[in-house]
Amino acid sequence: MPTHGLVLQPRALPREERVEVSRLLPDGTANCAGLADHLVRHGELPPSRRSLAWRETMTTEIEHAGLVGHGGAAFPTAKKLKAVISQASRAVVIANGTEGEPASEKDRTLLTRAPHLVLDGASVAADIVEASEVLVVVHRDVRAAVDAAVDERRSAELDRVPLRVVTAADRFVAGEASAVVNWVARARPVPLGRPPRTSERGLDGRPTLVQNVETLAHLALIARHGAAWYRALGTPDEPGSMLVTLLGALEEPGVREIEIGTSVAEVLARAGGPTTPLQALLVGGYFGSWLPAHPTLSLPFSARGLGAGLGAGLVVAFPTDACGVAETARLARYLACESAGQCGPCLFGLPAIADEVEKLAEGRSNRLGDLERWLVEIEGRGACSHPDGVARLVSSALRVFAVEVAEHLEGWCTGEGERHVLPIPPGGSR
Amino acid sequence: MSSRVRIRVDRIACDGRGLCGEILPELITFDDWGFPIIKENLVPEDLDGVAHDAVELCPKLALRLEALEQECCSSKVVRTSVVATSWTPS
Repeated sequence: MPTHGLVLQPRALPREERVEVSRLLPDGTANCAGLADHLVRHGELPPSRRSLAWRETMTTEIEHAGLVGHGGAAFPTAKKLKAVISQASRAVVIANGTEGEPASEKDRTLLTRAPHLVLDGASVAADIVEASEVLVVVHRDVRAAVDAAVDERRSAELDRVPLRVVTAADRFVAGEASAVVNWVARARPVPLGRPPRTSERGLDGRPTLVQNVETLAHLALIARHGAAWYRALGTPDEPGSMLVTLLGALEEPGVREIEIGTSVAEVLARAGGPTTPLQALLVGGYFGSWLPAHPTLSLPFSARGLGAGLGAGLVVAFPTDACGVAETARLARYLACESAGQCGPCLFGLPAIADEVEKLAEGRSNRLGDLERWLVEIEGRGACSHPDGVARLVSSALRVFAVEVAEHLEGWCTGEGERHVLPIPPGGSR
Repeated sequence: MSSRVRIRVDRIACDGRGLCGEILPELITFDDWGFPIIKENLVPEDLDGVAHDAVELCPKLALRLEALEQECCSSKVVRTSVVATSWTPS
């Protein structure tokens, strides 16, 4: 692995246990919120961060590490860095902690328990792309924690570029990269059309690197330990660890850090394991995919292993006594209401899809064929991928809950009463 | 058959006026709400002129043609419609 003879000799760290991983989050329930604790745990960042050689080495290391975005789209981080670097004008870095996915808690947990690792990553990213400013956009629940961390860093004069904290908008689509830029610039948290991409023309027309906060935390560790260290965990295709939000029928739901490639059953075991027999799992997010409990539980938790994107790391354990059709109907309605309403196919298509799934859930479906056609037709026809996400979710539900769908067409439901597993914000927004 | 030019809809600008599909039914059809579905985004050479007409005549300036260079992921906009407004339901 080429390191250009520079700073990135991987330190000999003990290889973590296969299941218990604590790269990003400190062990157990410990916090690493203060700067002193953070420096004891991780040490300082490499000093020579402004040289061209260091910046080039870092970009290469991140590429070799195989780091991808943890906000949902799993876009290769090095590719995004290069796109921003290739632009002529002064860049901006946005650390994206919007976490608009209502069931996800991993970004907030990370920003509460290890904010300095995220801010390190944002600072390193700003050095790599020679940005003049870093904006840290965070969910309002963790604003105070992040403010405190930024104050500490300012007093310690830790960062070359100024860090500015902004409270994120509170809606599902607000976390999409261009929507974050739109929110910061114009207080309108809705996606912008493409092209150009934010990496070319984002905030104030400047090249803008928008990275999820977890991605930046990984980046901060790669800056310290290098690509080889990063790749010591995970699979060859999908190296490293990741944060997951585990919820549903589990003993101790919550956020955990896991090694990518760990079996799904082991991942659930990190949350104490299932409380009841499971029929399915929702993986990725509310824009993700339903997967059948068998054989999924024995498969490796990776995009390749599951044949489904890991998205923002949401895993819902769905019990046998709940109705997957009814739950999908609730999600589809919520997601239809969360459309920014900018693009016709999303504005009109999602409510129609939600209507049909609701009718199906109530046992009075008469347009299943239309529903299936809409799910195909809507794909790729939005300025952002919100409609694609809904189509993925509903299509996977029709597949995984096919037996339940058939029952519903006959007027039956095998679920027990009104059992809701998935949290949906009251009134459609938090 | 040529794959030099690709047709693309600015989904935010598009209002579903429907002229594009009238002019270019070979490539564009509509969904149940009158919004265009691009059946085939590569414009065959013999439809080049008509495709340009469709771009010119879109009342929302929501259609564009992009020249393809090598891979489909690196494309250059040959004619971009400047989008003046986007709308949201009140």
